[in-house]
Amino acid sequence: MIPLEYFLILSSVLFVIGIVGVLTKKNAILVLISIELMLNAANINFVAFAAYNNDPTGYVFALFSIGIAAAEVAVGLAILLNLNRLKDTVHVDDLNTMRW
Amino acid sequence: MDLSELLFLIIAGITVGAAISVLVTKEIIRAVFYLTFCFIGVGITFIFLNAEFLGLIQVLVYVGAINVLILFGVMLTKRRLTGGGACE
Repeated sequence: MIPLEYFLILSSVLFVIGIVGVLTKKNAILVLISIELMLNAANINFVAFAAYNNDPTGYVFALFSIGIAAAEVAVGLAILLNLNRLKDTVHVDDLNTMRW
Repeated sequence: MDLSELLFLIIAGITVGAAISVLVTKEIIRAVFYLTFCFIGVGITFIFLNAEFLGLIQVLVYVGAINVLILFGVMLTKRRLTGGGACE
């Protein structure tokens, strides 16, 4: 069987890539994409520990996490489309105010 | 090193490579397509962990729903065309 460390290393690398994307990218859609990468890394951890401990709780948590990620990206894109309609940009440096 | 371990390393390499390509590519539409490969790689990783149902759900929800939603977002918003990089 594949060692548990392999899955944890893969998850850590994906999480670090997601953090780098959130902190460096300027387009708000790329920030949303990077958040999805971080959620995927967390899901790998859930499923890996569930499989190696014979505990199905992790599978259920991963299923909830997938559903919440889908809802979150829908809400985020709706906000971004409204921002694009009102301010003509999705550049995060231009979106530094909460009312306009 | 047995066969499944080697297969897992190949799939993990593809996943990490696609995730890095998401960040380094200049065209945002290509980033979304690299993201598809990354999600499929994570789904195959779930199948390695004896969670076939979850891998199927991952591919259905992420590739079928979230990627299409992000493509809509990319095509309906305005890119910054002047100054800086192509989509930075």
